[in-house]
Amino acid sequence: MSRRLAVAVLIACVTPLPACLDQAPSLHALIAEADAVAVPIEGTWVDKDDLGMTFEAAGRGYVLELRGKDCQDGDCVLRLDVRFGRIGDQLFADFIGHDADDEFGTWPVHAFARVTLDKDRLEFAVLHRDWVLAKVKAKPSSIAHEIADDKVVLTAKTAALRKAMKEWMGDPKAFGNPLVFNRRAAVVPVAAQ
Amino acid sequence: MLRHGFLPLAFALTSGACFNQAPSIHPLFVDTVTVPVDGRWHTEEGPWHPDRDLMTFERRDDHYELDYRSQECKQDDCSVRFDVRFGRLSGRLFADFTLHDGVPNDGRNQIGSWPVHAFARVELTKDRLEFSVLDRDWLRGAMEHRLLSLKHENADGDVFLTASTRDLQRVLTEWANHPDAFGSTTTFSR
Repeated sequence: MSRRLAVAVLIACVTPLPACLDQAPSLHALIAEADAVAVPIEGTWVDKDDLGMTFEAAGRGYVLELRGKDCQDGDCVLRLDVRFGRIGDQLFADFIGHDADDEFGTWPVHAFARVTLDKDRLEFAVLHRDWVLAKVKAKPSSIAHEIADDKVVLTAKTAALRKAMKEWMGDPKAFGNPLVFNRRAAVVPVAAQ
Repeated sequence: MLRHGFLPLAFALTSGACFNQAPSIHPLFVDTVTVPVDGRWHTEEGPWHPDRDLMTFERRDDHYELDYRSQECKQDDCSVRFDVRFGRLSGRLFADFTLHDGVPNDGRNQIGSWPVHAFARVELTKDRLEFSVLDRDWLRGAMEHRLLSLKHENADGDVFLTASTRDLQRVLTEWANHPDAFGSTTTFSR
C-alpha cells in the first residue's frame, strides 16, 4: 500500500493530468467516440523524471498506463482511458479514469489537454482550471458549469465543449505549461540482433 | 487506476459503485447538527467481511471528521478521511459525506476523478449506527418518471446532481421516508 501510494504521489506531481497541473474537470467528453482519431502514439514515452506512459490501442481510443521509475508491477500503475481528436488542426486528448469507475466520495471526470505529437516527442498542456474559472466568472454564459468551493466543473455537453475549445485554443493562457515526453526506443532482444 | 485511499471502503462501507451513490457537486448541509456519534464504530465480522472495518468520528468546527479504515490498516496512508455533516429533514437524520479537504489522504485530487458529496439517511442509537445511501438508480428513475425535479446532468448514463443545497434539501425532505430512495443499509456497532 505504501509503495503504491508513493508512486501515486510521484505521478500526481509530474503527470500532465489533474491535480498538480490544475486541469479543469468536465462531466462530459470533449472527444466523442465517433470523433476519436488514431494517432501514432502506441508504445512507451518517458519524461525527464523517468515517468513512463505506455499507450495501447483499445477500441476507438487508448488505454494509458502511467508508472513512476521505480514501479515494476501492476500494483503501482495508474490506468486512464484516452481519446484523441482534432478541433480544427489542433490535436486534443480527453482523459478519464479507466472504465470510469467511481468510488464513494469521488466521481470520474474528463480532463482535456492540447497535444503536440511528433515522431518521438509528445507534449501535453492541460486546460487550466483557474483560467476557466476566471472566464466563467467574467461571463457566466460563456459555457455551462458549476462552481463549488470556488472550483469550476464544466457541465457543458460535448458539442458546446468543442465550440468553446475552438475559441479558447488560440489563447496560450488557457493551457498549463506543456509537459514533454520522449519515445522510449524499443528494446531489441539479443537473439534478434 | 489507483484508489489506494478507498480500498478499505471496498468491502464494508463499500465502494461508490457497490454503494450506488448519487453524486452531487453541492452539499446537502453546510454545517452540522450535534449528534452523539463521536468515537469508534465497527462493522460486524461475517462471511463477506472477514475483517472488521473501523470508523472513528471526531467533532470539528462545523463538521465531524471521519476516519475509515480496515482493521488491518495501522497507518494513516491506508485510511480514508471524510468530512461529515449531519442534519435533519422531515424529522429524520441525514449525513453528507465529502472527502476531507476535498482530497484523499495524500493531499491531491485523484487522477481522472473529482471529489463529490454523497448523502445517506442515518439511524443512530446509543450503540448502533446505520447508513443508507441515496440510491442513484432510484433517483434516475424518479426523475425519468417526473416524480421529482432536481437539477442534474446525465453523464454516461448516470445521474450527477448539480442542484443547489436548498433544492437538495427540498427534495430530500419530500422523499425522506420513501422505502426505495435509499439503498441497502450498512450497520456499525460502537
